[in-house]
Amino acid sequence: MRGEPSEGRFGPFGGRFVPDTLFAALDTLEAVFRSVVPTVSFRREYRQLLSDFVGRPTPLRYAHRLSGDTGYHVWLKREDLCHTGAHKINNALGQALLAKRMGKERVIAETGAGQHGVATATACALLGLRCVIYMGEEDMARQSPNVFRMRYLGADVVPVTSGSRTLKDATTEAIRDWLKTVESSHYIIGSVVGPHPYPLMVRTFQSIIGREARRQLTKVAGHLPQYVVACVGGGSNAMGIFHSFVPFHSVALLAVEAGGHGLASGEHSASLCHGSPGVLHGALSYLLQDQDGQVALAHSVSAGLDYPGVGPELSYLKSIGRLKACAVTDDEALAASRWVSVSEGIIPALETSHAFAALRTYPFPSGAHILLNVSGRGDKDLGTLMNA
Amino acid sequence: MHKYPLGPVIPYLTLGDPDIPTSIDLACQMVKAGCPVIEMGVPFSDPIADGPVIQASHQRALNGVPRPTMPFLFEASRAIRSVGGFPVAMCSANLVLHHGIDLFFRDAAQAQLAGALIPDLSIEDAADWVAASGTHGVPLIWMVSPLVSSQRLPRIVAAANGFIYVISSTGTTGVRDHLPNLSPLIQSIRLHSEVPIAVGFGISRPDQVADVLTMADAAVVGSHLVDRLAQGGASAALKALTDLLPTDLV
Repeated sequence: MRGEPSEGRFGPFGGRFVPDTLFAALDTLEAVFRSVVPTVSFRREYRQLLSDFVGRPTPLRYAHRLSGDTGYHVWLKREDLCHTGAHKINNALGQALLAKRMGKERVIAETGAGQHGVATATACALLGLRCVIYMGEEDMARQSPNVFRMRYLGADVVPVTSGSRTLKDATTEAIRDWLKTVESSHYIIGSVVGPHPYPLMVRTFQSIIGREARRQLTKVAGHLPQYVVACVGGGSNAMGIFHSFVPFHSVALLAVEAGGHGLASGEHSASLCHGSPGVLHGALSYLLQDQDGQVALAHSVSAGLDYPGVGPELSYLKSIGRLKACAVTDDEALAASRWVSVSEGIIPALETSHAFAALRTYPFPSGAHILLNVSGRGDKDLGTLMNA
Repeated sequence: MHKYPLGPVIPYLTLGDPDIPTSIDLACQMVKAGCPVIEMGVPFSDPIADGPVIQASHQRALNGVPRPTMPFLFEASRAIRSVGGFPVAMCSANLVLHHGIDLFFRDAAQAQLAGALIPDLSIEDAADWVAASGTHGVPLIWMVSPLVSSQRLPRIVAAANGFIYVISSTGTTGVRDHLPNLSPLIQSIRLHSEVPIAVGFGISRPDQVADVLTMADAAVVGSHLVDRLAQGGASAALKALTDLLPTDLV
């Protein structure tokens, strides 16, 4: 398989930095993932759900007004049209199906913006699995519609009050739960982070985004894009759309990180731009950390990007120069949200708004064909937008 | 092979909780009370293997001034050695990586650290760590859980040095009523190695210590002492420890 990590590593990044307690579960998960996912019966069931439950393939659309405003050719991959409002459902469904195959009756997940939590709660409702979602208290306040949505779907939402009360702490709490319940529970990580095989598995389930987009763009435009642009927190929508383009060196990959109050302020979530290699949540990857090696508090107006780490494969692609990273600020993302809303009739998620903001801040060459992943829609952010 | 007199109980303390001098002084008093090996936790912002009591302890320590950084660990190590103890560091992988793996083991050797326990390091990812540990003569202490696979256990045991830390149950650190039957795991370790075995996670009562001592060499007590320290100060923690020691030692 292309892009296969060796021994769970992408170059030096990745690995399994976890207590022994989780090893057997990770081994089992990897074995099931490798043996079950390629089978005809799994693929048929998964594809059927992606088609008649999620609504795939999602459309590819030429963004006329954005293209006119910028002088680029901007193509939008509409993951915001997925059932539940973001790309997260692609992975949640795939892993929930695996959980069923492993005989697990309980599913744990962490969530930041709540999109992964909603996707997981949805998949669990569909497949009859018990669902417990860990969410930071601060995120529960700023994404309250999603909290209601998860509970309405039958999930338990557990507030996390430690640390920064955001995605990092929710992930830590979910791992702790899994340490206690590993024999009966499956942990559905929402991004391409965590110990091997999670980064590989989540990327595999999300890579349908790039496969579809490549086929669609080749069909309507007759060529590959020059740039593929995606926002990056942990990096699942980015790896999802990047993966199919990694072998094509004419296609530049641009990861847009959350610059928060500006990189100089120290209050941001730009781990690819400003992090250094470190271990968080089971993997070696670029990490925001202080002079003592303590994990730094990340900041972003968007809960889904508010994470001090990033997926190990993205770290690897950055380290070998295959991927470029830039950051846009909270204010630039908020302005882009409004710009896209009034010019295209699409209210993007605040996470996705960072990718759009890069259309106005990154020096693309004039006339460039840019494929942008619209990872999610902004309904969940209306509270933040009303107060912005 | 490094071997130390483990003593019946290995106390765990967080460096810098409630403050650096108190934690070092308490460790020395615990050595004098009959516990030669002290497990000294270096506080980390995101300790995934620890439960709420020890996480809160890490947070208190990190909020202290000065912050309990690596140089203070080495200071603690020297102090514990000076009273005849064997200091073992419990330290998240990122803190060692940040210090530099080889530099950490070199500094640890100079400070006479008796071992380093990295709860989120796996044998599969540890080649550089094992090499540095060997070069500088500071053993890496490995943890195994009852869920360890039959393929992994021999690898861990073959690398074992100092002692092996058996995690008595799944989950994070913290006080528990019942400990599972660990005899099968301990017997399979004994089959492969003569390295001493300590059992930890969840021990808070003298009868649990006695239970552990029927099958292993030592009981690690962490959350219980950290909790007593937070509630009643150093004297309460010391008393809680001596209450756990088998009576022929007190």
